Amino acid sequence: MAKQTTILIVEDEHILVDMYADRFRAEGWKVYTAASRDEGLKLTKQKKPDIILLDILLFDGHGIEFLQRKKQDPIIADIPVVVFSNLEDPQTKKEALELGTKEYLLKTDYTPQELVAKVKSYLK
Amino acid sequence: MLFDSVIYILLVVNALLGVAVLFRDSKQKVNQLFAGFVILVNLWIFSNFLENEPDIVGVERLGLFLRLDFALALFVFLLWFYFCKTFVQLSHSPFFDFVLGRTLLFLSGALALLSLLGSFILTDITFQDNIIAFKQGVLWPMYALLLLILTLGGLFYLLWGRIQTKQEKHILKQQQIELILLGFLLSAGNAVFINLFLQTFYTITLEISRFGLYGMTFLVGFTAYAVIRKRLLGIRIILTQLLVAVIGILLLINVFSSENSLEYTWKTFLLVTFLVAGYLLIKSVLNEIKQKEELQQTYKKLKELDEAKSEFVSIASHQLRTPLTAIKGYISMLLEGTYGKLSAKQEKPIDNIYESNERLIHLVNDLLNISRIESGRIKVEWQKAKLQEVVQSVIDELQIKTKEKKLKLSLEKPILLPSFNMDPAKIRNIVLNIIDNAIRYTAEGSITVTLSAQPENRNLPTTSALIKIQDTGEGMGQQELQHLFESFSRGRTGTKMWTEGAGLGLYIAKQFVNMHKGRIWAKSAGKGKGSTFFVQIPVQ
Repeated sequence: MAKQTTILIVEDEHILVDMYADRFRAEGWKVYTAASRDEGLKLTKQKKPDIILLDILLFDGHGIEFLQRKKQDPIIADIPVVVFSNLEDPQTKKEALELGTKEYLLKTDYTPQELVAKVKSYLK
Repeated sequence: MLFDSVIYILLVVNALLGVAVLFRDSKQKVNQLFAGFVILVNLWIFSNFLENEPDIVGVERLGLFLRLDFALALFVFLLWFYFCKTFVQLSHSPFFDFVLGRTLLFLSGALALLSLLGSFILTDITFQDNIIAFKQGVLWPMYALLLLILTLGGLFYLLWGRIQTKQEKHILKQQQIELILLGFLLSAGNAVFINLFLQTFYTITLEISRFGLYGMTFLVGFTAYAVIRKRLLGIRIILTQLLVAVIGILLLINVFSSENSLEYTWKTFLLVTFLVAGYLLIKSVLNEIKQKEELQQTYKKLKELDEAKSEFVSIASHQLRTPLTAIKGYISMLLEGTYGKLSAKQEKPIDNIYESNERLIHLVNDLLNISRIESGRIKVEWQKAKLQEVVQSVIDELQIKTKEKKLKLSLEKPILLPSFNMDPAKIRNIVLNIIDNAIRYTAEGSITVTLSAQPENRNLPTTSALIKIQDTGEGMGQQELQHLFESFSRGRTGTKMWTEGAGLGLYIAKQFVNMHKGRIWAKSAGKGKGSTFFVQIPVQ
């Protein structure tokens, strides 16, 4: 039996969390969600998802801090991350890519279906 | 008697300046150090005065006051050193500061004690011909060296502070340091002139030689002014005022030296003319300084407003995009059937909502881009890319839209240009805006895109790439062509056709082309005869 793909969505806007979670579940994926940076890090260590979808502006901190702390932890450092944000800031994008993010995507550029396709491409 | 009065006046003036500084803010360490410095300077000046006054202190005590003079000099310059260091706010590591402070204090204290109690600094003290004299003791070089280190150390901190404040554009602090430096130079210059130059080449009286030390009042005065005043006038205006005052005083003295009424009248006329000219000069310099300060204030406010605007636009764009993302996402999932199949009747209106939402997203993107372009916050992200791939991706994206309008969109005679440095995202944006424009203003027919290398002669190296986008649309008149790339310009055709769009796309395209040091222009044979857009990008 093929292992179920797992994804962790770190996003504090519940409307968007529900939307993306619905779409990934429709693909047959196991979806975990976290509404804050710290909860995201905790779940990453506990569940070790196959991939993480990370927002940048979180209510308890910055997504960049999440990436920095994840990188420092050898247990979870290698889990791929795709940053998905509406913050179009070149400096933040540069920092995120330097910290090992697979890609920095603007939310309004992608429908959930297009996002699923993008995320799948990083798992191949 | 006159000379004796001078010292008492100076002591009072110095004391008042010290009190004024302390009164301004007694909790500030700088102010406390300055007050201490002034107290020591006064004690030093008075001690220096008394060492040659046997009638006041008695002959047997002259030597004591001489030793006190030399001991106090060390503490005066020790406090000068600390004052300068504290004023410019230069601190090293706590350990270094501790060691430096304790070492200098120890050395100063030790040498001051030796000056007071032994013959290591001063020896063979005598009072002859109404002047006290001495010979240099065995530790005199060490004394002189420490004094030099403390003096130059303080000067070093001031000069360092002057450089730092100039780099960081702290105008007030810079002016304060300049004033203190000016006071130092005047004091030092005065001392060197009187005690070195005049005493070496001329015979001067004791009273005149004392003025070498009295010049410390320059340092006290300028430093007090620098510390007290919130707004400083700047050295140039102060020197101008000083110069006018000095010349005015000399001219006044000259008036009183007149020998007859004609000379008196003429010299008075000269004095009055000079004072009027001096007043006008100072007033014009003050006005210039005031205008400069106002400009600097305005610039500062504009910069703050610009940063606030950028931050607002960034936050507003982010906040606007969040609900737009939700609408886009849910609508697309409804259309996709994630929540169950839609009826044919439901599909069309929901599709319209999706399209309207996409327009809103593009508008937000365009407004954000314009804000960034106008505040200079957009940068080119150079990377090697193939122009054909960038253009093809735009054509692929817009095929659905052109098919809906039954238009033909194609890339004709594609040529393989080598990869060259560009910002692919911005080039994509340029091509997308032009083709999107063409789709809007073309009711029927086609939109043809061609790429070519410039110059066309293949034997010559390629210097630029040319993108040509030709449509069979409404065309434009000369008037429209002139204003085409301005923001919020849609022309009459745009208004007539009730075309969507705010007229920002071509303006943004032009800005992006400019960032690549390229050219963008358009041609049209007239109304109803289509348009052709050209984008030339240098190949680097």
